[in-house]
Amino acid sequence: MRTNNSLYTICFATILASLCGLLTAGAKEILAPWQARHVDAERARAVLEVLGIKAPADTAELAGVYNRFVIAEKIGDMHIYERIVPHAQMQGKPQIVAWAIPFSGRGYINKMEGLVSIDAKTSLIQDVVFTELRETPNYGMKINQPEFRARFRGKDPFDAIGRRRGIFLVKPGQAKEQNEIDAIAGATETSKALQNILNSALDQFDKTMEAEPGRRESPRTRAWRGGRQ
Amino acid sequence: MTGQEHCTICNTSDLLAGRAGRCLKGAWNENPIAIQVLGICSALAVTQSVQTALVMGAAVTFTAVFTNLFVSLLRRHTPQSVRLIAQVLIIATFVTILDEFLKAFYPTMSRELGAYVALIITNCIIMGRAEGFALQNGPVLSMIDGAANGLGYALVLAVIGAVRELIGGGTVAGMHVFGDGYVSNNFMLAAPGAFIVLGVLIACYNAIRLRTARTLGESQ
Repeated sequence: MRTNNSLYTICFATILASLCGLLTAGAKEILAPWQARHVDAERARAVLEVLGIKAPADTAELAGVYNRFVIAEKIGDMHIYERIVPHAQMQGKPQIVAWAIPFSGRGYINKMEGLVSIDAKTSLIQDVVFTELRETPNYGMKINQPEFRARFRGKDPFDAIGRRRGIFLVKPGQAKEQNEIDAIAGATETSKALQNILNSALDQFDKTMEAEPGRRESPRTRAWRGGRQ
Repeated sequence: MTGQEHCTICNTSDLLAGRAGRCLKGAWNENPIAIQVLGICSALAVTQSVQTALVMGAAVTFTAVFTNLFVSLLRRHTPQSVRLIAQVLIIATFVTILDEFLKAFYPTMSRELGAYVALIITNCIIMGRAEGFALQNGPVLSMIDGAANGLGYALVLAVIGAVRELIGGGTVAGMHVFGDGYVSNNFMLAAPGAFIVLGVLIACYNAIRLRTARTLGESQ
């Protein structure tokens, strides 16, 4: 077979490219439901964890627990997850216990993503969970250790009248204020990146709540402001 | 080529020519990392633990087997002028399928390996075997060659991963070997540690090969 003329080459390239395209598109299409299931389950686990609810290992049970305790809402440009009191949900009056706010940004090496939860009554930080983190092993990755995450609990990113003043990661052993947290030794750049990403997310959350006129007098906003008065 | 199999990369054709069993020896005698020093970028990047090393090894083996199969099947129909592009296209197809499979069934591992799965497309081992072997040989032998080289790659990765994980974190495949009190050695988990382990491994590998060759020479 003469394989060196131009027409043959064009036909060969077209057929091969089409076949390869079909194969990859088919694989993506067939595997998409499994991928979506994993993404949803991982997101649900992270939301439950940051809101202080124990996530079951079984995926079917996970969906049940998630639907019972969590309402996902898009307020403005933000996706916010609300932990509610289950029996109130049954009566059609969701009572919000805490918010989970997604954060995302560039870490020291790679993208950093996660959720930070805030108590609806006190507006203190409850927890921080990372859903994507690829920093330097044994240095930057230490921010995912339970011991470090525990340093965020009870920290106050707002001042006495509810204005955001931010969270600051300071040199190890120097955290004194309610909005200061001891950073990790040897992971200064990762700590700075985390501080900026968290503050940006909290800032956006604050602005989102302010910019929703219809929600100003809602139970959520009353709790938000009430906790600070 | 007619009937007789030949490997253009493995110059020791007296050892490897002709038989599948001989070609399997490529996993050891012509190991892609230890002898040909190919694909060491990913070998250094994904060997912080045994698990990631083994999954990466399996991924390269899968890609090498199916790429060799298709390159071999199309070898008489592929125009010479576009053969390299055709090979890259075939490699990219199988890497994409593999990447989607990992995302669907092993999402944690897929995240850990990150871009290195997609970067298998640029792995010299796959392209080298397709160009150097599959283009001249039949499908079955080409698949065996791909599997042998993939397994050789996986073997070296697993050894590097085990050493780095053991010295770096005191564990092997996640199991504690030295107990909880082991102080982790960050140097071994960083890139320079990988280079040193690879260097020592290649030195040991060559020493064993030389000794074996000397013993065989004396016995003859």
